[in-house]
Amino acid sequence: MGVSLLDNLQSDIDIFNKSANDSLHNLWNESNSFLNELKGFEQSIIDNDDFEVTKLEKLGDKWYKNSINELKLYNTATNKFSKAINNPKDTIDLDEAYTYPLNLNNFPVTPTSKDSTNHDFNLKSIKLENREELIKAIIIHLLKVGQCDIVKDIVKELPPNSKVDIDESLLEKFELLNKIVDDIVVRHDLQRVLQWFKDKYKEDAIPGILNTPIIAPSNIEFKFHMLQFVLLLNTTNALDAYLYSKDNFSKFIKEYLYGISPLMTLLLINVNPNPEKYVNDKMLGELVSKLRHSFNSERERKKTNQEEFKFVSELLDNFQTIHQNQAMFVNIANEFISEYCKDLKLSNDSSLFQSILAGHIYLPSFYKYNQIQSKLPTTIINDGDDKKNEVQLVNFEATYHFDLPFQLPDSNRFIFNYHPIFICPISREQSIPITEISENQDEEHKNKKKKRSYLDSNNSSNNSSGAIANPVVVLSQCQHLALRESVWHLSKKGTEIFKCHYCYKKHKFSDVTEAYFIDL
Amino acid sequence: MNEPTLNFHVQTNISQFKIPNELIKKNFKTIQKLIEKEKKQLTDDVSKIRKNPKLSKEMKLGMIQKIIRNFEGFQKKLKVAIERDQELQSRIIARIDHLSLLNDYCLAQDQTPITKSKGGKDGEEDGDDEDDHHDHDDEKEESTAAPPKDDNDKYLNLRDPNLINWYRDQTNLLIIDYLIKSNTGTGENIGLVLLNSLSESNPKYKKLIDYDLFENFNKVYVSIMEHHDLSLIIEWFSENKNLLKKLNSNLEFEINYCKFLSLIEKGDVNEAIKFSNIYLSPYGNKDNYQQNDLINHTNNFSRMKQIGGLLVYLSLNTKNNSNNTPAASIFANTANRLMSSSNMLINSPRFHEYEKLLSDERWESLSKCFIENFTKLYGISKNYPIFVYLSAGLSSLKTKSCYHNTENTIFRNVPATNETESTKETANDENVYKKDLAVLTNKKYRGPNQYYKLLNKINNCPVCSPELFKLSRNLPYAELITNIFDNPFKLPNGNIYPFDKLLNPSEKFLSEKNTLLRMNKIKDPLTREIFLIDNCVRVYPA
Repeated sequence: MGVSLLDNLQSDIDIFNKSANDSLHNLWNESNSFLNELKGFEQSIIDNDDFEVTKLEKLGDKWYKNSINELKLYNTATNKFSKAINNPKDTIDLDEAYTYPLNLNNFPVTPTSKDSTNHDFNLKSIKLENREELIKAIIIHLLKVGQCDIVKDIVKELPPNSKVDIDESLLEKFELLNKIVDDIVVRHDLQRVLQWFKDKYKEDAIPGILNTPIIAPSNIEFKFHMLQFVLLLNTTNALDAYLYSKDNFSKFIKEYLYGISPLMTLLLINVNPNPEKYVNDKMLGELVSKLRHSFNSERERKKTNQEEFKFVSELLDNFQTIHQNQAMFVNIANEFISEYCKDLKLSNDSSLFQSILAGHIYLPSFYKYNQIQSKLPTTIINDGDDKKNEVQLVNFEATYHFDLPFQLPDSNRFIFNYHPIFICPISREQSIPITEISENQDEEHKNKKKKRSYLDSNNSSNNSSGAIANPVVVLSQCQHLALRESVWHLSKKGTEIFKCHYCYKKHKFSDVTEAYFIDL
Repeated sequence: MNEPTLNFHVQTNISQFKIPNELIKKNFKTIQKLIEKEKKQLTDDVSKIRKNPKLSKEMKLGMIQKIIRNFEGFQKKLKVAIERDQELQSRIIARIDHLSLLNDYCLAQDQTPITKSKGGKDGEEDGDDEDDHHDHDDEKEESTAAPPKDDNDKYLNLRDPNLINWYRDQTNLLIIDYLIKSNTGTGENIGLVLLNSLSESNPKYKKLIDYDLFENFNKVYVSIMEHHDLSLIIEWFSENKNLLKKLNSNLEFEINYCKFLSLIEKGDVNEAIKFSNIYLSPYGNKDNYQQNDLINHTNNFSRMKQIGGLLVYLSLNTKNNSNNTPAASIFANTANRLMSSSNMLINSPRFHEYEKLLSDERWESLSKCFIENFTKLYGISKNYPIFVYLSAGLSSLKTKSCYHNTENTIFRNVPATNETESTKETANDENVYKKDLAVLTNKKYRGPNQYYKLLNKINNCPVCSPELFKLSRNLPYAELITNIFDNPFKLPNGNIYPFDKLLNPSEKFLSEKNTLLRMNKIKDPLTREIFLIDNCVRVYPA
């Protein structure tokens, strides 16, 4: 095994940094000692009018020579480091991974007052509009990460006559979120967040006492209570922690008894404040680690609540150093944000963050595609693209014909499962659910298509009505699924009997029914 | 191979080290100059003493004290420079430390990312529907990537919440970067305000971004484009003159060209001609360019010829005007005069060319040149990095099921014209269940743009959020593989639900759902139709 890029970089930096420190330190010392020598001359003139100019000259030369030597050493180190970080083999230029440019300006543009009557699809106004959208997305992001105070400043970045307004009531709620998150992350104080959960129950319970559903306490709430218990054990005394558990744990017992019990055991261990702190700590450490071990070995056999028990295990891991584990507080705060947003009927994370996260995950594919494209002879690219763009973009908007030309790796898709996606096993096309918007678009596309039909005759063969919502259909004999279009073609426009693509059961076109995926 | 790996992150982030390194080099030159200057001063002072061996004690003392004062002044400057170096070094250290965190978030060397066919619940799935998964198996082979090409590379573990938090920091940094660089406001740079605010809880942010340099980058740009002021760009140019020369920069010409036209614009034609003799004419000479820089010569030369033409036009009018008439009005006058004398001239394409010379075009050209030079000098991307990640991310997430989800935002539209329409619409939605079933079973309510709202379900898809939906309008749709919830269960009306969520008995003993279940019936949560379970079927997407 060789040395990784990161290790190389790390050692380059270590060397560079050491050289910088050494050289500049020596340089400073040199100048200090020369200054002292100068002062020595001054003193000897004062004392006995004694002054050897050659000696001064010599010392001056020495200072200069030594300084220049240090600079040379540093210069060599700098050049070496420059070389290391400028090696094209180890560098990926982000511009080369920017396969599909956004309609946004790459330089500052003052938001001019928009002409609202102008509905032209001109790129310039689209770019200004998009800048506004991006700023809005940034504002929501900042609210969701707890940066409320700055929002009023950023709102100024929106064009002066912008037609949007922030929902004030939501803004207030985000201010509260901001405070709660600060308490958790900065002060490790859970009072406010626990109060929030309490208030939430009250709120949910008031309307119609009889019909109130008994809301199961959420798993995140469980985590906060456990954390609070451990914090109390750590900071105050066992009695407080005990009383806390008495007041708050009952509603979790049914589901989480298994996770609560080892934490309660901590209570017993910690009851006697031992005068010999060291012995106590050591003993405690051993006990906790035994506890954790047995808990973990059993945990693997449990099927439910894995995530919560993992958290308990983490608590046990860090029991004595809970305040040093900042990442734990940050993570739980993020989980809370997501719970809080859910309560506000907003998506559970910052959309901007989610997209940029996806960008980080999938960027290698875009980069690689670009690399391959740039190696192809340019004539082919141009020919292909010109024709494609005709169909792919209408008024700077992608049509349903515009697909990424490569498949993305699937292993991290689990983070981004937002919509049920069905790819037709026959045509390989993605299902397009029925929406009013898509219906309207259909009309538009159909009209445009008529005008253009001779242009994209190539394309229409596999997509004769691809822009129209292309719903899923169920084959009645075997319950296999396909897209309506594909089955229509298989049955030769409904005239012939066709076989299911999987099980070869025979169907007529009238044997298939439309279906709609609805996630709950 | 296309999975996010550690090396890929190092490769994309390495440019972060270039700026501090360039700044260190620049600072190094400052130190060098300081020392040389001090050495020269010292030599001069010492030789003065040497030349006058018979100086009085007081004079000698005075001279040595002058040397000391000088040297102390030098030391002060040296100290500042050393501190600057340390600050820059600390940025490098902070960045490598931050990057090295990724090492802890990798999958073990022998692990490869596992392709899950469905969510994370695979383990619980029975083997009985194995046959229905051919398609997945194919994909699995494709995407269960071979170990990284490079032995020393590692896959990142996206299940690690700490890695996700690392990306949260990256996102904030990308936002700060964008806000600083794209700032147009006259007040404090909003990106810096955000940086300061975020640094309160996470001081390391200030080490991870070269905010001071970017702020200046933004200021210079804005001074050119907004204020048509050349002082900042001239300052930046002279600071980086030597490095820019190596890049075959055409910036100096652009600056002088702008200055010349500004003189013309002011009506200072004589001054402009004098200026061009000294500062522009050398650009006409091919010998003044490097061998690999002849394209600049060609372009500059043709632009100079245009300037000449402009002067001719102006001279048609200057005699009738006092010397200090702004060129714009001269131009208007000229146009008037020519209008009467010769319509041919005024309508000639040339004339409009000259008119264009005095438009904002020159500022655009200068600022474009500045951005190119700046990004090249520091080895940073020409596009704002946030765009690169956002574009890739949005295209990767964009599905044909995405829709403009106006629910998921804090912004409300307040246009006067649409108001009535939108309120009507929401009123409609609320009343939808009060209407008869025929409406509810309408196909249009089966689309995601309707059913999320009707089922009171929150759509977490970022591409559906109204802001990003608009941003991703021109982006392609991701090519995906089938990804349906577990156990898709179809009701007779065609709605397919996840079986478990649909049929799981509710907590409440007496709930409607449980009562129906006991009667072997199920209610469609969307259409509220009631069906016999026996009439529902499991379907097989793949």
